[in-house]
Amino acid sequence: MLILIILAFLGIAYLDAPELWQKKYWRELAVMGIVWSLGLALSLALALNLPVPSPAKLLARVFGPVTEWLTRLIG
Amino acid sequence: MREEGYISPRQAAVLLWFAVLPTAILFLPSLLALRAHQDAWLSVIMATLAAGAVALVVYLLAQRFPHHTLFQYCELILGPVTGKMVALIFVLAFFLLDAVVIREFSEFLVTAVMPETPALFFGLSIVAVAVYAVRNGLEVIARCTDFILPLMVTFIAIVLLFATPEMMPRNIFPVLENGFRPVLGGALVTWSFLGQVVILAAYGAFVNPPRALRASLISGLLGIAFFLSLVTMGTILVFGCCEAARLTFAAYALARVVSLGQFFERIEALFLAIWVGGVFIKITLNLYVVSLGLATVTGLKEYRPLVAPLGALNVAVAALLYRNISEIRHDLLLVEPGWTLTWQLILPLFLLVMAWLRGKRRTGI
Repeated sequence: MLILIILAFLGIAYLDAPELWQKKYWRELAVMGIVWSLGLALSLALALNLPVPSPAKLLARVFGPVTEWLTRLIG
Repeated sequence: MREEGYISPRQAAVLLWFAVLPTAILFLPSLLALRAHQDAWLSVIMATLAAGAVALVVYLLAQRFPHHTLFQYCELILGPVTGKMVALIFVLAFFLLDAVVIREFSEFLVTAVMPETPALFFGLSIVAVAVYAVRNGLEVIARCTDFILPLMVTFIAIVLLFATPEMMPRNIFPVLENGFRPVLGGALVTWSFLGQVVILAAYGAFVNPPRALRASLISGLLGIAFFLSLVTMGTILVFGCCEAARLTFAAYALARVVSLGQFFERIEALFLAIWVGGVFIKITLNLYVVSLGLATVTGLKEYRPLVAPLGALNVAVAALLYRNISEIRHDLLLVEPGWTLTWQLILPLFLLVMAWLRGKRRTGI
């Protein structure tokens, strides 16, 4: 699984990175690198069953009360 | 950030249908039956009126800044620092929306059709196709809809037509049994789908001519309301509100009841195929907007290098978001309305008011 993930991400990098490198688009390369490493880190963490907090939980904590209030207001 | 292509107002309207309908048709009827009982179809109409407010805001903003995307005029209105932060909120919101759609797609296929296949596989394959489509640009995405739209419309018509023998008119009566409040509660749930028309603010900049945006917004909204209320009405008429609320995928169940003279049966397989096409457009459009937005915020020359990494990150986040289908339903019912109301109505409205106060406008190119 881990090897598959790393291979997939290398494939994604190979799709665009060499061309950007040749054109000297450093800014593009930097932003792409950040997104790419975030994705890789998250995928590896999920594959290794590390406890990663879900963004949905965060949303639920902040906006759950808002929705509850709205529901009581109109529904 | 400019894109080379332009789309016609008709294509913009159709893209708007696909930005809302695919997941809404599948998930909404049962949630609506839960909240608004037999008056679910009234909720859809109420929510359309509310989404009309978003459409108006989007239209007014687009008139002030023709040929500019949502992410560009954020900066024009609020200045470089605050503008970039607000634009980044939009990017994150569209990103999360896309992750939710990917998860809904894979959970539906796992729950209803192929229980032994890992959910990750479905998300991975659809995003791979979506990445390919997004890298070809908006014009290509718009042209994909020319193929899928007639299929979808014909198919919805066939399902509704052939399900008529099972429909019982008494299922939608009495109208407004418990007054108007359940209808409003249902409209709140519908809102988290219909509010997604805000996506037109992101790709509306590529509609040519920009003045025709009003026509595409109106026909887009009316089309969404029409199909959504037809399907909702169909499920309520066939199953009744109590049964419809228990079915997780009421529209899919509607396709299953179609049976004509013992030879026209099991058309849910067709429903599945066409629905997958619809969700593909939805995921692709969202991924396009996210890549375009991130490229605009960070000031890149092109968005294409971002597409594949963003797609990969999206699959990972989609896998992380929920544990199972009931959590998705719980969130759609109890969390999403507040969150979507914030970024799909209040934030664009805030942008419009700021543009008015600061007198910002940009005419011509």
